[in-house]
Amino acid sequence: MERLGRDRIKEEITGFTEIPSFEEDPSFYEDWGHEEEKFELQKGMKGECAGATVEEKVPTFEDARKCLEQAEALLKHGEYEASITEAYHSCAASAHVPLYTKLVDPFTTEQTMWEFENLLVRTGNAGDKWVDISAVLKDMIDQEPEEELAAEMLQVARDLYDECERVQEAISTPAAKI
Amino acid sequence: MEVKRKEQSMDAIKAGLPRDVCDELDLYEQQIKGYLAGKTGEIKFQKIRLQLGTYAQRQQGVQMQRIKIPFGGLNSAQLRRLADVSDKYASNFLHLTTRQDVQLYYITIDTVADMMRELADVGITTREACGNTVRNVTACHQAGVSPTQTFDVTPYADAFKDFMLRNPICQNMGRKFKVCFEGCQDRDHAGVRIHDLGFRARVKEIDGELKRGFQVYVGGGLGASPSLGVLWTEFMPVEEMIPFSASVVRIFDRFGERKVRMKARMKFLLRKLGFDEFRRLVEEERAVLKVDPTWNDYLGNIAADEIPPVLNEQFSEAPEGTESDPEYAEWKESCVLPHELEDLCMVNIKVHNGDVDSDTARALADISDTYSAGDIRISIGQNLILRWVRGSSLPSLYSALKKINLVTPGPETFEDITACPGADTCRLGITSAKGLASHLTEGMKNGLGEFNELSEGLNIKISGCPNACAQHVVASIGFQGASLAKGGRNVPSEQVFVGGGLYGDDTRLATSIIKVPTRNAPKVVRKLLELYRDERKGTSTSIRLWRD
Repeated sequence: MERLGRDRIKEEITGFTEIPSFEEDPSFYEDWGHEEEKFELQKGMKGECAGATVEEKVPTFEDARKCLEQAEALLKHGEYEASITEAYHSCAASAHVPLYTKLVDPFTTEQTMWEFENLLVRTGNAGDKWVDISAVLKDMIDQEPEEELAAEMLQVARDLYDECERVQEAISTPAAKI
Repeated sequence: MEVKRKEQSMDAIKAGLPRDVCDELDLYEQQIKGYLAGKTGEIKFQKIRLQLGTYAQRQQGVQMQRIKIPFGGLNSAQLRRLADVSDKYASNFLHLTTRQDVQLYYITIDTVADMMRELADVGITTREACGNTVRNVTACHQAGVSPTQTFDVTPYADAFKDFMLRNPICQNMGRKFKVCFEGCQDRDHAGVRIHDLGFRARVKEIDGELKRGFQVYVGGGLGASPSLGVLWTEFMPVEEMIPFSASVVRIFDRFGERKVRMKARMKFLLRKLGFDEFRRLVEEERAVLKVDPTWNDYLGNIAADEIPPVLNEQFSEAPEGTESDPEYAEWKESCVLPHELEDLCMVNIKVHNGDVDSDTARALADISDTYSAGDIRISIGQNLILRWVRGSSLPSLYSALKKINLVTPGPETFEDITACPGADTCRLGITSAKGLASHLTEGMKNGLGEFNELSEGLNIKISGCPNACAQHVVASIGFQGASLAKGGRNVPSEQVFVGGGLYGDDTRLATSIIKVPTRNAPKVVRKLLELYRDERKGTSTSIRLWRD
């Protein structure tokens, strides 16, 4: 190929580009294995190997605030387990905002906290106090859901909300973008 | 040794499945019911089914199911189950793909969950066979037994598969992601430079000790805009393989294109960022990635070499005269490959167009139990390989394979044409790749037969459209389905490609030459072979001369 070059090879097979008229040779208009069908280009058919469209939802601190409010209300009504779960979701919703700015869009709550730790704490964007936050939170939600634990979880969620707002502001400044 | 099958009820099958698999398929069944009841829209349901490998077919109202076979490795029970499932739910045949998958056709959607349960019962999953995920992990079909292998890459490919399957980091990427592993030193059976990640076995002396690792290529891919992978490193210790891969996948997920799907594969990200910036991002990611020590737990279980299975010593006698039969001699010369261990060999079974009917598949499963410890591999050339065959059993094996018409000589040669499903069943197919392949195969027995010796090392690959599922852009002679028009009528046509090949570091993409009507494709093949015969240097028939 390299020695002869494309043009030489093209010249050798150019003669085979000729198409006889339908009247001269109708077989040229049939595809092998499909002789009984008229050869046509499919219209409106979409292949699926590319997968389906990915739906994107932009996360906001509003999502995190709603979860925090739910967690507070549930704590007041003695629904400790549900409060802990809501606080956990609030943590993930808060962390999701700066992660999204960093072009990361995790799927699950657990994954979000893991990414937060990797991409925002271990890189120095968030404070050291949040190292191992994903394991800490996981440990908390696995414990017996009591009032003290629910209150502690709520406080963690509030602190993380504040931290994520700070991180978001820092990484959104023009200097950070550069 | 024939393995008797015991029919199991669906309840018994469900009871035996791992919890997560059982839940996943129960959920899928509910989602299918929701879709059929009109509660779930087409687009939402499409995303659900593609993640599990269920495709729409060209024909309305039926589905194609892609089934992942990691590194192409099957045992006889799995092959038998695939055949049974094809009879029960599909159209009585299996199609072997160039990425070592199996595809079944003409399935109705309401039966798919039960079909998957029957497959899961023998350890087969279809999850992430499609969608924007890490697809089937492929590997050299000679892995573990090749006399020229550096080491067996199978356990590494298996660990990679286990790591990525259901992993949240790769469930919703911008586009699909393909990976392969190659263990041979002298051949590239896997295509290390045509994958998003290509790993090739390497060893290196470090502190007086011989360490295992991989040469790594990144960013390769075929399709309408093919790219060869770029060398990342000549040696990456095996301990780094999974953490590095996780970093690459995360960078691709984060920075890859998500709007323009035609430009969403990782090769385009490399082009956009440039290799140096891509490398910087991956290295930065790797530095901060928290590595779970369990990721490398598999390394503790890897033996220095694949442990040979217990091989059967009892075979039926081959019919008298088999060993002096010229057809046997031709088969042995063409289909039997050397093995790492003395007295053993591999047998490469040529499968026309990658299609094997279910009765033949079941018979082959029984044969593999007798002659190859039930071990079978699918190659990217759409063939089946028995890897553990006693040399002394070859005449007997030949007669067993002959009874099911699986002794055609010439696997992995010019006569062994690779073809995708094309317009027969694929929604994107423009022309019938299998139709042209069958016609050319007939030609090999007749007019083109005279070129067989000349064409050693050459190959023909035919894709029905530019997406290159048959890998025509790395073929010596490649055809890509297209259309021309004359007198207001469409004419099935082929874009001709010349000069590609999988040669490891030296892999070449074929050059696009010209478009011809499909009916003239056999004449084009003949002309190109004549040209090669007349213009090649010296008398050698080496593949290098074809390329050069």
